[in-house]
Amino acid sequence: MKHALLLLFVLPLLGWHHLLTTIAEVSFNADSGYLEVALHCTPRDLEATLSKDLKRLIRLDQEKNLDPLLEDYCNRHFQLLDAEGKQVPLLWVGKEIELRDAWLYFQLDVDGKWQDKTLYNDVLANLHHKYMNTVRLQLGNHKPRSLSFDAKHPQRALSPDLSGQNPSFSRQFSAILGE
Amino acid sequence: MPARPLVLRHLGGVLFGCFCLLTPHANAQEGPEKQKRPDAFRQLEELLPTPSATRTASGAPGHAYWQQKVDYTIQVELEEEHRQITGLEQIRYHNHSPDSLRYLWVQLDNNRMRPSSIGNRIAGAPDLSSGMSFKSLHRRLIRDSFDGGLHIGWVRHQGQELHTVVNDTMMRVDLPRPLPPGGQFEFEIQWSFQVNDSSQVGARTGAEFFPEDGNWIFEMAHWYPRLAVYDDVNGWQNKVFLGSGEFALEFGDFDVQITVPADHVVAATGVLQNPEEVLTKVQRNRLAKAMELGQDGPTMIITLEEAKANEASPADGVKTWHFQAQHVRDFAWASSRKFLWDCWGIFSGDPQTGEGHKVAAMSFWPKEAEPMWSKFSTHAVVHTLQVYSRYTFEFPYPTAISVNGPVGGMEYPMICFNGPRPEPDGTYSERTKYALIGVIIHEVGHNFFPMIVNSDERQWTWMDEGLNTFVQHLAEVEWDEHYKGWWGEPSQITSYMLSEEQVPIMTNSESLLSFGNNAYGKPMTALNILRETIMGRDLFDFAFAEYARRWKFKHPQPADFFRTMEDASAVDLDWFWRGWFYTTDHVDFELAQVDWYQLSTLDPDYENNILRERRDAQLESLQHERNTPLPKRVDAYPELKDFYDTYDPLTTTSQQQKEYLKLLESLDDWQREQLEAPWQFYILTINNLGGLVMPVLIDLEYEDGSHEMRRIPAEIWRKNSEQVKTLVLTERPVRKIRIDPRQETADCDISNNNWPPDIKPPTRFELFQQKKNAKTNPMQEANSQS
Ligand SMILES: [Zn+2]
Repeated sequence: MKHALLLLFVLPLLGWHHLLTTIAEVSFNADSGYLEVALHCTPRDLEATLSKDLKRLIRLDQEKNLDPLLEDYCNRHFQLLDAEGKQVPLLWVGKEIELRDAWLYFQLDVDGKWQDKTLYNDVLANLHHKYMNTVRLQLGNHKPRSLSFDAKHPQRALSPDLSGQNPSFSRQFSAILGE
Repeated sequence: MPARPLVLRHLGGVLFGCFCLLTPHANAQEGPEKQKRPDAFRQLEELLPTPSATRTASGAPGHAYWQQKVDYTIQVELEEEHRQITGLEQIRYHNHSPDSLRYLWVQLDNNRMRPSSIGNRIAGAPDLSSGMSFKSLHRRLIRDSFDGGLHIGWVRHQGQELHTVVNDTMMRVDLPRPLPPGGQFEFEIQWSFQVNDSSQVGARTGAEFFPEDGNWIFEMAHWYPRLAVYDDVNGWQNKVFLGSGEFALEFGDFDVQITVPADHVVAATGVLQNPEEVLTKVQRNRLAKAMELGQDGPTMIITLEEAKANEASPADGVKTWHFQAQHVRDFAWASSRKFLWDCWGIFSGDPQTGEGHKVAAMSFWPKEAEPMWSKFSTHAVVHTLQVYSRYTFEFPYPTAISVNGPVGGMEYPMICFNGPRPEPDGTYSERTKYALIGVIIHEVGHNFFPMIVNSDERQWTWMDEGLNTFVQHLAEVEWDEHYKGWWGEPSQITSYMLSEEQVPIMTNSESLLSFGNNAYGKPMTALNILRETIMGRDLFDFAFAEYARRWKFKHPQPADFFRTMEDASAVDLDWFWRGWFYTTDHVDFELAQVDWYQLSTLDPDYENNILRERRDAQLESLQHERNTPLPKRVDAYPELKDFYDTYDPLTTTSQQQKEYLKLLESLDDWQREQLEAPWQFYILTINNLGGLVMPVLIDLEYEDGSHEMRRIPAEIWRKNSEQVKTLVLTERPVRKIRIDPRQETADCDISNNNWPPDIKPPTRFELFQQKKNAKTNPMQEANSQS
């Protein structure tokens, strides 16, 4: 157990093991009015970021009640914000965890309107400052586009017309000493 | 006979997709219309360095190619309790360059672990939004206070102190007099440093502590002052080490004496010179047996029981292990009293002629890594050497070693460090199993790129990581069925290639964004596409092996790779290097329009019939249908009727018939045959929305359901890289046309690739929901049916 812990905290500094990349496919479902999200990462990255986040060793294949942990994690690190900066509700759908791939599925209740929303995405940010998340958008009849999220740009507007602009609000940060 | 144009019957055009036909991409600029179109096939000369006598236009080393040679004789001692290293090295620098050198640059990469290092000071901020534990605060404080830098005792030449200046991880050694071309300079460095505890300061080197038994595993890399590269491209490659860009090093010969606690076992680059002094007789006998060719697996040199006994009762005193290595660019080693050890002697060379040499494939690991390591590690080492040798050259070194310890995965000549271990109870998940096999293949594979094909890692990460990940994939698919489709599918890289925050592959290592995608994923996918889709396996494999052969034990640059791949294949790839390596464009083809024609038979009866059928098949308009029953005046007064009331323009006149017969007489047999041939003409209009040009792969689905693939080389875009039209000529009607149906080209949006267009395919999310909503799983279904 101890070695695993040691290993866990060493690895994020190395190049090979951690891909430090997630890809989310986001599409708009006109019938439900929701954005539907399939978020991909490597199981290894997911384990490491959850463990650091929750300050205990998480094993995806051993954790009894994994879904609520994942839902909570997505709720805090994949936030869709409306024009006032208020977080849009996230509805958890499920997960698929395979050998090389972990997929997390959830909906974002935008009530039929995605155009004025801003996405805050810092999944994996606690592993290494060089993380990079990609979000592939398939919104209505627009051509598919990808947005990139990294330490410098954790927040971006969904609408192509707004993507160059800085959002007028920023997310609250709080530094708490835990444990 | 006069040339008579054939007449074509237009069966309709289908237009769909984006009507704002052309999306501007990166290269489009403001300016006059005629300058707007970029030339995707413009040759690369203006981007590549001018060929020279050192590096030729063919991509090979030129007749004046030179590289420096640096030999080291090192005595180093590890003091375990304080994790202290002290060393003394004698360096012989051979100046093969045509230049006189007034100073030498020496790399002190361990200085990256000084609190004040440039790398430390420019590190990004951690994420504090979810708090910080005492443990991570502690680690952070240690990182800011631990001094793992190299402390130089002295630098001397023939007993005289040399003047030196240290700039972060680089040390300049000023020579007493300029070193002329062909000259040699010997000097000595004494140094010491403290090894980082890898649980607190992670790096590509370090020591791991095992609290249960109180022992350490040391994995030592960049542990001695190493000469920087001086070459014809950079002069001195003396960029300081910021933490990402790995190492650029010269080849040379090493003689290294490593003094460690007497009960330690040492694994190192090179061949052990004094087995009588450091190994037991039993161990030496086992090694001799392991090296007999024809063994069907590894032989244990130190067993689990022996390792347990060894680590339980530390011995007093020290022992010195003596290694030698030739033609290596670096030297790494590992030391511990915890090691188990196995060995498998294999033959590297031509089994037909017997020309070649023996290689000792070996692994060293602690009991905590059992039982995975005895089962997989050395097998993976041997597998890697065998597959890589097929795609490059025979493995030239005498040993290849995999060591388990604190480092997750890092490569050095003949030796590499690999992290994955099972659970404490010895079980392991499938994922850990494949992580272990994958990382060993990857790190052992680095022997080829960049340890032997010695590219400049500090500048170009893709040249070693991209190429190595590509061959790793070739080795993995030969391990077992599981590996099918894990890497290298072009569709896996499309989301990254669409993203806005990208830099081209041709970017310095330290400035890369999304390191994994940029330096590993995209170049390896690019090579895979070259091999499978653009060049074909035969042409690619020969050219790739030729690059490896030409630059074996030399320092290649990107241009040498680009040029060799063309030189050895006769395939002009400038467009490919330009698009994939120098831009951030992506692939997105759109099948915008399909026009369908058939040959007219010219027979007026036949043609009129077709037109009549088409006319009759058309649905009557609603208005017309409702008006039909209305009584008509001409019916009430038939005297109003004339010729035109019965005239049908589709009735063949006798004049037309006469002309047709005359025409037939004027044609020869072949021409007459063509009039009855069932030729189908499809003109495809394809828009390039992503910017990258690629081959156009056209799948034709005929009415009987059979398929035919037509592959058009990328040069179809040579005159217009934004839109092309191509003619598809078939003998049978086609019911569906798909562009790139097997997703070979990394097309980022395949929804606009088909005619007629598909109903939108389900998203990944929708597929998951369907699966979730299905009441039974496939197994339950199968059970209920039986
Ligand atoms: Zn690598």
